[in-house]
Amino acid sequence: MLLQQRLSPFDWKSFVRRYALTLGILALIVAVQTLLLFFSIKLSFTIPIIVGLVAAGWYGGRGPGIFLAFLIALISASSTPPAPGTTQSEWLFAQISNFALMIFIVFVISERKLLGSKAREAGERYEKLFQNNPFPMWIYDLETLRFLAVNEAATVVYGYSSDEFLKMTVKDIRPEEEIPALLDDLGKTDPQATQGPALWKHRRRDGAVIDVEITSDGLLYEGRSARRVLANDVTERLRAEKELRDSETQFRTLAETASDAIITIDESGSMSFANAGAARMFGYSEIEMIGQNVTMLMPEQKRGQHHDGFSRFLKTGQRNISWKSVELPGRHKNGSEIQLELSFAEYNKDGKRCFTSVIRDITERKKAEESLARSAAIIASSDDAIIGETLEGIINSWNPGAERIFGYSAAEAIGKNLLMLCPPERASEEGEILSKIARGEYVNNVETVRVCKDGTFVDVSVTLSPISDSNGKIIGASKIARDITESKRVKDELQRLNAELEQRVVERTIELQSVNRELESFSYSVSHDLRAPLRAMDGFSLALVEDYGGRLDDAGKNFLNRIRIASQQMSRLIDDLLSLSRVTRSEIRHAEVDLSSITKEIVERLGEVQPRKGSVFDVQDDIKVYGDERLLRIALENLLNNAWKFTSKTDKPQISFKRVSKNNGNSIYCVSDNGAGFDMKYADKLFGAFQRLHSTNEFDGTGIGLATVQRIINRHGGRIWAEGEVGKGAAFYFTI
Amino acid sequence: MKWVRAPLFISRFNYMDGKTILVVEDNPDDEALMLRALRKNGIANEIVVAHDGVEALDYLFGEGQYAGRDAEEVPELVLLDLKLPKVDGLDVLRRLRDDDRTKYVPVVVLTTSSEQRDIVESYHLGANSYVTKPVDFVEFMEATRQLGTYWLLLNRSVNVA
Repeated sequence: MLLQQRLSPFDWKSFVRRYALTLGILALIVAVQTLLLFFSIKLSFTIPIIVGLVAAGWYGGRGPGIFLAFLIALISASSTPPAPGTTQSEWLFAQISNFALMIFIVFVISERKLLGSKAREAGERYEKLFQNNPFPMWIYDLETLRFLAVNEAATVVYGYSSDEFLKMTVKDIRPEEEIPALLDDLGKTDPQATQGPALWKHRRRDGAVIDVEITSDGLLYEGRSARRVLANDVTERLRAEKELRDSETQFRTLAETASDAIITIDESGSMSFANAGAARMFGYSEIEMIGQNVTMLMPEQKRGQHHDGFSRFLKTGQRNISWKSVELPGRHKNGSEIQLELSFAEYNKDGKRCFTSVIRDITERKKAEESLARSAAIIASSDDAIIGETLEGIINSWNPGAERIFGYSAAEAIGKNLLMLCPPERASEEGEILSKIARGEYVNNVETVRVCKDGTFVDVSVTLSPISDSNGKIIGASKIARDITESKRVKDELQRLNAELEQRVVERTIELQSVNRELESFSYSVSHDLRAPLRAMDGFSLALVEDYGGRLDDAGKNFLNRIRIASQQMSRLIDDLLSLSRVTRSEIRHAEVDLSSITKEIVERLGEVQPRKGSVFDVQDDIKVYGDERLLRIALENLLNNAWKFTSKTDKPQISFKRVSKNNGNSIYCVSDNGAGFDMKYADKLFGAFQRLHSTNEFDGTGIGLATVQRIINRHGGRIWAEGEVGKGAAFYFTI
Repeated sequence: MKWVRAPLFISRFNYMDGKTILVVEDNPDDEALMLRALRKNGIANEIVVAHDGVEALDYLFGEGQYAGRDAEEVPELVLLDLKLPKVDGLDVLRRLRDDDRTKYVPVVVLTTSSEQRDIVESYHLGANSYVTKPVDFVEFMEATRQLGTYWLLLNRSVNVA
């Protein structure tokens, strides 16, 4: 088709028509000539020929016109013989000049025709351009401001018909408030200048104001000074732009004020946007974050994982975390870890992929969840019944403990009234408890009886605390009921056993007291009665010597002397035994005791009673213990008396009392001497009553002193032991 | 302790005075030794021996076998054993102190007991002195001598009569 059109520019129909027209005109001319000849109208042949030529040149164009002129010239030459008196050449000349004249006419006419049609085409084109322009256009008179022409688009956009427009001025399509600006603008404008584009507000027929971008230029229209205006309705575009701006502002504000962190990263992972929430959450300022890699906000051990996952996603699009919501740890600037919940979105910006994440700090929520889970676990695992109830006594929660104790399952219990657990005679209790709760009081460990599903009774200890809603209004109670059947039984049993024990203690005490009394009276008898015969033996022996000495020989006197010594020895034994028994029986009264000063007193008295030269005493100061002063004094007296006694045959006697060391926090005290000492073989015999390692001849004694010391130390919870070597001395160690 | 020999004039002084010493002692051996010690120390006062608490009280208040004795005639010194048949020494002491006539008689508890509670109780009931009888007769003699010196010679008692 296209090819055909291009190859066939020649319009056959027009060609035929135009030549046919030429032939018709010729026929017409011939006919007119013939008619003129026929009617003998004396009219020049010239006029029809000229008319014919003009018509052919106008309507047929140049070709047909020349063709007609040629035909006419042929006819004329053939039908017109040379006029008389003229030569052949004159005729020929006349014929040729006629022909030339005709050709000239044709040329002039066809050229004129051609020019006219070109001008018309240009006008039409312009008209089309104006009319069919998609933008509203109009021309208005600069003086009257009246519309001179409007195009189709203007009628569509403004809602006025073309006729209506032509009755209006340009002021009529302006909102009132724009008119002064318009007039002002018109006054300043050079009528010929091209203006715009400039933004104006126009009013449509329906009153709506639109934004238009106006471009105008000056022209002469139908002889009048006018302006041609092209209006571009940009209302939509401006609205869209504004919406975009608004939306941008809105989202920026949203991002800035959001408590969540919002962070955008590019493909390299570096942050291109971080909001104030992000700064708050991670502790970095926005400036510190922008441009940095987002891994700075992750715990170190998670960074590699992020890197791998992110690069895999960039390559393959494979996501291994949910983009809707994923919980990951983050890292605060101060190094602490924060629990985060993240969601992601991807978008394109200038051809580059960007990823935005909205991040929420769920550390607190996590904690709350954990604590809630713990509480729930505690409640679930509790042996106690934990029951929630409304102020009306309706059960609204029921843990497994409650099921175990009362037998009802949660499904059976929830929604029921707590009265179902009350034995009828205790029905009023619940009401009282609930009214206490309603007043905000707590109910602690009230022991009562409840009835189980199977009708059995259970002893429970009930504790209730009020539950408030977020406004502080009491809406119910949490009740903890402990099954105390067993503990009650145990308690009763314990009480019974305690009572038994107390009874037994009383009995035993009475027994002990009577034994003690017996012992006391025994000691009393010993002290009193055993000594009387000894005194008699001694006294009468002496009386014998004194009164009858003259009749006794030395042997006899010796015997009497032995009787006296024996009785005195026995008296000492009795004394020591009594002392030992007193030490055992007497009550211990604890107080701080200064062993050092007691030792010094004893040593001083020893020096007075049995003075000896060259003895060295070494007593450490400030040895203080907590114990019974009277008993400890007896112990030290015994130990120091021993030391004194067994150093009586030593050259340079040395006796010392000191604290030697601390053993497991217990001090060890030591009384030592450089006296006769003892063989360690017999160390275990030292502390037995009546045990002696030396004969009375060597060193006087009853063998009860160390037994007494041991009793005293033992009664203080301490321990005593001895170390010694024959001839080198002895050391007695004790703890208290 | 210094050995001091008994001055002879004590006996003369006491003899002249003629006041009585009441010895309350149930053990005949102790009684004999006591008397021996007193005599050996030259104490020549009249010595009355009561062998139990009842006898002692009878003597002091002129009752029983001592009915008719003038109870106003109080002894110069009472040497009182504690462990006595019938009425024990502490009871005798209590009765003695309860009575106006004998309230101020010097009473020396002379006993074998060295029990703390006996000592405390004796003083509590108003004993003037508490002496443990030594087994060694030499010591006993010395104790008796010193008691005599102090109570019969140095000490001045309330003269109730």
